[in-house]
Amino acid sequence: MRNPVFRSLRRVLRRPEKLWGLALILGLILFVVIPVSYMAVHSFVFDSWGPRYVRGVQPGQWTLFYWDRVLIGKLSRSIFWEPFSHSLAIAISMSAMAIPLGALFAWLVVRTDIPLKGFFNAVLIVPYILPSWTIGLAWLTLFKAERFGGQPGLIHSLFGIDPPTWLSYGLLPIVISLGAHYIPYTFILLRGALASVDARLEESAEILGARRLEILRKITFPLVLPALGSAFVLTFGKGLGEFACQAFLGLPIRYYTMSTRVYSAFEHRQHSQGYVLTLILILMTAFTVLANQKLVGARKKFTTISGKGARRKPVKLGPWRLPATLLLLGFALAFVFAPIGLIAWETFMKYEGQYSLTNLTLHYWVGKGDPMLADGQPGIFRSSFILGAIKNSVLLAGTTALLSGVIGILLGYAVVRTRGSWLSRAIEFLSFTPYMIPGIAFGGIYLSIFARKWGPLPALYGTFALLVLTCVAKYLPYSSGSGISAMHQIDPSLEEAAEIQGEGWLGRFRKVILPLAKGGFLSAFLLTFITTMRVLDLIVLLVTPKTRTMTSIIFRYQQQGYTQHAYGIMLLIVVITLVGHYLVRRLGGRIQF
Amino acid sequence: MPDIWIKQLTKRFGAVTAVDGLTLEIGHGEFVTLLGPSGCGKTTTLRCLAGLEEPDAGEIFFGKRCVFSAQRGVFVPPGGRGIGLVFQNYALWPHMTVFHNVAFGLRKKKLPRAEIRRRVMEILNLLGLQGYENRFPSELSGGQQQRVALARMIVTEPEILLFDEPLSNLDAKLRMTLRAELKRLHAEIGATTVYVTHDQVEALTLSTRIAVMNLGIVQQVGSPAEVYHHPANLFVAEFMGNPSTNLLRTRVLDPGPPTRVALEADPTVTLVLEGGKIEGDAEEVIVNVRPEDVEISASPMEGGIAAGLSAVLPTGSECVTYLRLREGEYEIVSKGPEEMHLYLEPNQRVWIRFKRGNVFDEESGTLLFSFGFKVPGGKG
Repeated sequence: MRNPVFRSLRRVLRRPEKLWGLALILGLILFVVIPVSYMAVHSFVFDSWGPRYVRGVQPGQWTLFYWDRVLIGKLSRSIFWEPFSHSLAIAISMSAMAIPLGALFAWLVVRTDIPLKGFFNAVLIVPYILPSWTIGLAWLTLFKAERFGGQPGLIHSLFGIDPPTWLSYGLLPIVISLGAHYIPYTFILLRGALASVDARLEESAEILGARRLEILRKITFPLVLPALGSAFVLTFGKGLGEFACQAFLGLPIRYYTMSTRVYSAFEHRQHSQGYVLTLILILMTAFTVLANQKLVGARKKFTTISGKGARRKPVKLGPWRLPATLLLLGFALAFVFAPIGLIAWETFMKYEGQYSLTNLTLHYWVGKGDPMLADGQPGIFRSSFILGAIKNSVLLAGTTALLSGVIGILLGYAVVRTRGSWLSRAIEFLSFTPYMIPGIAFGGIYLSIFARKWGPLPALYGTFALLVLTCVAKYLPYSSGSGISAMHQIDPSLEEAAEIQGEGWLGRFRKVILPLAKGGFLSAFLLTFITTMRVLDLIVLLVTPKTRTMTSIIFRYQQQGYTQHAYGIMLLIVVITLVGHYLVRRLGGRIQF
Repeated sequence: MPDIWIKQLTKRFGAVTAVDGLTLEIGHGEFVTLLGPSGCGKTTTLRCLAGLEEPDAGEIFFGKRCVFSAQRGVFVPPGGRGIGLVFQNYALWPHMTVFHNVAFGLRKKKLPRAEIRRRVMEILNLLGLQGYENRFPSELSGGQQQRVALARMIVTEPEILLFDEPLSNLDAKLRMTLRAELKRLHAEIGATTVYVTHDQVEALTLSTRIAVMNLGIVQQVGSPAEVYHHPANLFVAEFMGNPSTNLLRTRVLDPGPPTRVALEADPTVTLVLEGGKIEGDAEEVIVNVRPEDVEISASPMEGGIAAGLSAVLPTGSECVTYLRLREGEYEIVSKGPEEMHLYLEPNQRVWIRFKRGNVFDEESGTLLFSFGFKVPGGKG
């Protein structure tokens, strides 16, 4: 007992939060810090392709070759500068579309006498719940042109004209699909900001004789400006890192962006070149995240003055009420109901592009396989390949959600209980870093590192474990966020009250912490589940035929022209995400950003 | 043999020393209050007693049993100390009913079910909570939650009861009722009690003894009357009492007895303080008079000091009066029954006299002697 080692051991076991904290730090270093630093270092090292570019060099030799090739060399224009400008163009244009519309929608729903508020509140966020490429895929069913192979889209079959390329693929469709996907993002942020503006601040202006527009311009707008700035910066950053939509609508015409360039570099095993591109992409998104934190800091200052005012009377839209309602209904129709409907219809079409009743079939869902259709592939529910992918997806999503939930709770516990120490800050910071790394880049890093034996870990490429590991690591910011907020709800005295009664740590965790964190845990579980169900960019580089997921075979089938199958699986994902989200809402959970 | 014996207890948080070599003995069945401003180390001391914090140095004995000793490496975990603790926020488990909250500790002791039920119901009856056993904490009022916390603490019959500001979250009326209830409960159970509060009225009404703390150090231990009327130093004198006490800087004319001093603000005013003498060679002393010990008269009286009246603040049961010596440079607060003060008018000339008070050394701030009426057993 006198032994100081003994004493500190006893102290640690009685209050093990520091122990968990240290274990988590170790994990974070292993799976976040080291991979990123490895990548940064190896962007200066020749990979196995090195000797094919430069005569006489050995793989592993130090070099500036890749940075030169990407940024300065003869090919830099097509490797980097063009994709870079495309990415910027996409991010800027989609933000320009999403921010004003999202803000307008939020104002209409929160502040005006627009009808159907409950309906709009539920429906306007759907594009964001669905995978970002849902609208992109639906776009293709409309505007696909005959000259790009496969069957033409609805426009062609209705009017007999081939849509121009700029309408089928490239910048415009990508911007519209992604813009529509991110409108709800601004909508949600602004909805919260508008609702938290103290009504008395506006009423004071009204009493002083200000008119509606003046109040909006001089009081309301400045108060929600930080939220608006935050929405812009985050949408911009997400636009830079977005992969799937840019792949579906860009790759067929070789319209490359940063993220699709990262993808093809890793896909062709040009690792070092991939590292350079990834690093630049991470720097770009990290910059937007940091810019946002500055803005959010400013927003916090604003919200401190907010409070519950008297019930606000809604702004009367008068003659604008009908057009405004039609605008929202039109958006819902064009970007929620139409895409889902078109995707569903597509799966019932025997021959793609023929929109007639006689062309309807259940073949692609339950058919036995016909050599004339889709190379004899059986229907979705009869194909062991697709069923296997569904099983893999559910298993991946379930395992990821469970592990994320458990790690989130432990992380939250360690962070909240050691609040104020360097340990707490380090865990919080490190678990946030994956947020700054776009999914495709994260997948690329994990591909090149965990493909080989890595420290104590065996080579993981091709294993299911690698997919789980990647997803859990990438979703750490969300799981730690929900874990920390769940733990903040639990006052330490609740645990101490049990300690006084002689309850050990495990008993306290089981009887007090877990029951109280249950609600948060469940909604975090479901959110991670649906996020993993619909993920493509993160795992597209890591899947093998054995570990295929629903999303990865959509990607393959879409490239191979098995459209109905691809869209059928897409529809399943849409249904699963919507049901999952509905359950989260029922549990009182929040949408993840 | 005291029931609780704290020896040279020290607890640091990083560079901050929260409790600094605290020594305190508490007898069996006593109700001792740790009183002090926030950050004085009172809650930390209590948490060390409970075993929720591990001190850096010192020893704690419960009876003959050592529950903590830094030198010998003894640390008994909270569950093994035979204590009960009521938290400031009650810390009722929100996911358990009243019954399960109270039964938690008994279940931990693996008592038979029927026995647990009987004892829980008995305690709930004692605290007037019959019929509430199936409610959740969120379905109870603040006062009821507080009673559940009490029930949960005493149901396991701990030998030592610890309270961490248990009434501070309640409104004033409820606080009064529960204060009376706590006193009744203590009389009934007779368990040794340590009670932490920053509310001096609570400390004065409940305790058998009060330990006033500041900066991690016990400033004075004594009965409520002793601490109130004969504060050991200037800190205690200033901390106790509301409105704030009068502290008059004076110059010593005659160390006495009887002691004669002159007000620094107005050397023409001299006070004769009977009851002790100033030992040593202090030239400047501080005379402390509680507002209720300032007598006011509208007509000149023997030994009275002339003063101007600046404000009269009736509160219903009593009346606080602000007085000025020498045209507003020196303010004195007085408190008395309403009828005595109400007829006074602002700016009226009055005469005041000090019934009793204390004399402190200006440099060290320690008590030199008390003058006027004395509490039995008090120093001075």
